[in-house]
Amino acid sequence: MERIIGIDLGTTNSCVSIVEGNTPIVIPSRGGVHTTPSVVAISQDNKRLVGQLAKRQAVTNPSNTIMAAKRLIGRRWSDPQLQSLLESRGFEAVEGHHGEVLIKINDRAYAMPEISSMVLLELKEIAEEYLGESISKAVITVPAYFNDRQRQATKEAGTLAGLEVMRMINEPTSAALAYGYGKDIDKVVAVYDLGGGTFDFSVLHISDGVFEVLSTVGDTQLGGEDFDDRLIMQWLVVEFAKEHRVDLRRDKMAMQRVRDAAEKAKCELSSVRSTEINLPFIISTAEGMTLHLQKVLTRNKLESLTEDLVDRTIEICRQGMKEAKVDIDEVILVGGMTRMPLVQERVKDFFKRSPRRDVHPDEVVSLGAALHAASLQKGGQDVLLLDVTPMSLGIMVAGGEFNPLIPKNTTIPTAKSHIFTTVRDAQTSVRILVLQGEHEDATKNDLLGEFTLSNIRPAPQGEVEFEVTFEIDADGVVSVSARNLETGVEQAITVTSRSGMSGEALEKMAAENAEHLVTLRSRERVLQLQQKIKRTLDTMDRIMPRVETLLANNGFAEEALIKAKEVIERSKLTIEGDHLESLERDSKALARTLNMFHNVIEKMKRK
Amino acid sequence: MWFDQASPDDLNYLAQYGVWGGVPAIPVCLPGLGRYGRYQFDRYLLLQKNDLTIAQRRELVFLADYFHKIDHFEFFELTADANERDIKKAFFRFSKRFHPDAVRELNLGPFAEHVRLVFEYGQQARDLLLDDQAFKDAYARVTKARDLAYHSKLQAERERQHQKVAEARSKGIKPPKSMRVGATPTPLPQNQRSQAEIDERKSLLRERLAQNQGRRQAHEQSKQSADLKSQAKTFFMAGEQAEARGQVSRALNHFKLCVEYMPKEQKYIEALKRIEAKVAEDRASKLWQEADSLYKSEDSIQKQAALDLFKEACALSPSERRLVAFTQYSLEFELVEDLIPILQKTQQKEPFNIEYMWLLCQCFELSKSLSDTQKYMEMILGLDPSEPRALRLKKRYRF
Repeated sequence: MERIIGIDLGTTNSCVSIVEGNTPIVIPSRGGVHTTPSVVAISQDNKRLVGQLAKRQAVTNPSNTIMAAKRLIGRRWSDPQLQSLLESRGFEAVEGHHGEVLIKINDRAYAMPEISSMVLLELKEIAEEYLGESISKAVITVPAYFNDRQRQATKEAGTLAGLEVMRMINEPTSAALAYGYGKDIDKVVAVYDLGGGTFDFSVLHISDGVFEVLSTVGDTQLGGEDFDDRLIMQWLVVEFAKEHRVDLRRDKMAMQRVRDAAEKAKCELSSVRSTEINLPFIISTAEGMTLHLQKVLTRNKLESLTEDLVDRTIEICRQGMKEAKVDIDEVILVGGMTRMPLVQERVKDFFKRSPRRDVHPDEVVSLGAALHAASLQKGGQDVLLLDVTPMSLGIMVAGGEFNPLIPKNTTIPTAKSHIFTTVRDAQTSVRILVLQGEHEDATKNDLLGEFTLSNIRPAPQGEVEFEVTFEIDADGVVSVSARNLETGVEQAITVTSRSGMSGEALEKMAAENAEHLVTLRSRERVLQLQQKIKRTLDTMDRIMPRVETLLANNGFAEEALIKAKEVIERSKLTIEGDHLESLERDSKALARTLNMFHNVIEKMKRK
Repeated sequence: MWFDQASPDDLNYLAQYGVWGGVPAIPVCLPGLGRYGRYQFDRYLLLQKNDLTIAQRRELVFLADYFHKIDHFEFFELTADANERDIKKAFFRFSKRFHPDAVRELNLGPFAEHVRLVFEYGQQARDLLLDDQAFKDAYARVTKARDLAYHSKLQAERERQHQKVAEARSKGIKPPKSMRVGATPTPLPQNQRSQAEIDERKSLLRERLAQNQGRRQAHEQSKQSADLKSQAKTFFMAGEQAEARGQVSRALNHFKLCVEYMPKEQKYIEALKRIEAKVAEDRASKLWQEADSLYKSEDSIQKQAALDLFKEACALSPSERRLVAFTQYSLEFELVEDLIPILQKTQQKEPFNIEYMWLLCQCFELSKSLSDTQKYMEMILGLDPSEPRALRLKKRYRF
């Protein structure tokens, strides 16, 4: 049976897991680390760098390095939060034809799913290398509060990476799954998931291997990145400007260094009370004077800067508890940001119990995904997830009001039918806007798409009726179908593409990804061949004098010797280049020659 | 009217949710008739080929056909006084059977549509019962009232029938077939048992529970052993594959695991022995080759080293060819102390092979222990009185 991997595609770090036997394990990368940074860089000659390598070169190459792509995935250009997100980024973003966000590097525009697919491809590679078999199926986690468009885009990213996305599950649910798997418990568990870019809070009832989500709330724009931003924008930059009258923001490279240092300092402050940020030669003034950044950051300062963010998470928790309407037994902390002492303290105060410490905040989500993948394969015998939709799904009705058809916290998969009718005489088409959100005013909610019921028989108003079925599948992805009640015929409806990418563009990108994989593999092969030829040449050099003495005064042998020397000279040239076919040819020729030499030596010895 | 006994407020409240809020007028699950009442199953449909159990098929067919004719409690196999926890548990049980994920890998045959319908309806029923306490209470009260009214009506009808029969009998008329029932009406089960009876029943139930628990434990144990068995089987198959591909050490590991999981299974033990022999053989032949090449050199020290290697190879996998060769080499060097135990061991394993005895004879002859030489010679002659080498030996030493 083909194995399915579980992927936690995070904002700052990603992680891939698999179930071995009955226990889920994290697959370590080549370097032996469990998490891979979700960073992608494109070099001048359009080569890709992903993960640790990309992160390391970010300081020198900020305008071609994309970090935290997850915060932009599935967003529209018109999104009010978008501009503030792009503000402190090094790369250049442009608006696409369908209102989506594109990133422009080296005159080529990359769609967000494409960027994420590069990270997924890297994770897939890691898994394939570890397992020694090819992988084509995965369960990917998404923040619980992702809307339909963001989910669709993530799914597209999976497809682009050559992975069939078996299921997308919510991150807190996945964490709870990893926590409750194999334990015979009947408990209500709250999951507080503060990651790199998103905050989610879910309450679950775990009983007999059934994981029922009672409520889910969250904020997709609240995470570790915001803590960093606070530290940089409200403190470091301001202090530096006060001291030297220089605006750090004008230098992308300096900003990238500051960002790295701020992140590091934040992590350090989880265990020590004060730390030093020391960045020499950070920027030079117009007069050519070089300036250094040297600051001492205390934990108190950090906490005073970011206190309101933590309070915001607690507010969201309060709302979640209200929606769940139950008392909880356990609190689980997930996400690297929950290592911050202030967060732990506030959570402890709010829930009046200390959080569990036996789950690994960085890895638990991907472990849960792997477990779910395994249970899907087994047919849900030991684990069953009953997840909910985090946001209400509805339509816009006359007057611009929002009419929720599927309320939030409804268990998925679910389907609701609604009957529409014409409002004018001889109306031939009805336009319906599908929205997701909680606001009464339809325009303030998130527009998923619009569709048109067309080819309606001209009739007096209200005579033709349609039954439109809204469906949310187990991935949390919305689909719509319509039926003409009069004729019973399925109506053709056209929903505008959500991520703004056409099927053709998707296919092209997938082909490009496959090509990238081929070049990656061939490069490895080239290296192997080069090394092999080098080794053979060394051996040749060692035995050559002996062969020469043995073969002296033998006409036939001399000819062979000359040929062999030709081959050696040629291979010496070939290993300088990286042409795969000639390398392969020469490697074979060399192997033959060496074999011949060995035979000769053997024969001569016997004589 | 069935609903006479329900309070009008409740009825009005439920009416907002459709006809009586979905409480059907007649209970399907009558006492004594089981869950499916008088429902007629379509046998042809039940016996269609698919992966579901017969019980699951019956439930699916019934629920998909009748979900609007039974109340929400009956849907989940609950009684009207079920609390929130009971409903939740019942829904979990239900979804473990019919959730799309739970049946994902199964071949549902003609039941795919049934599963979809039933699960959708189950979700709705659960939402109604759990999310709205007022609805649930009203629903429970009306259901109870309906059951009570229906049962009392049934009882009354039965009594009337019995009366008619009795009247007819008293007049000497044979009652018509449809009215022929037992002499006295069977009372509906009512809670009129004495405390002693109840206690007795309780203790009986406890006993049964204990029995069941014992059985369950036994079942779990057997399941565990089945797990081990299946695990061992997978290892065995992997081992066989590896063996077929020639990956001997991998196969050895797999078979070792196999035997660890199922130490008594003869098949696995045999496989392990076989593969161990193979590994030894492989190593021995490698050693032998090495030794051979060493032995060919003229240097006597190298020859000595070769002898050590020969010895190791023979100890690993003593085959006749090797032992003969090794004995020959050893006799050349007059070093037989190491050889004798190996030979003896092999000879004990194959007591009827004359060749080994002859080798032993030669060795003992060299080490001048004539009694042993004689012993083996006699053994050879016992097996084959016309063996020329043994006869020659006998002649030489005049035994």
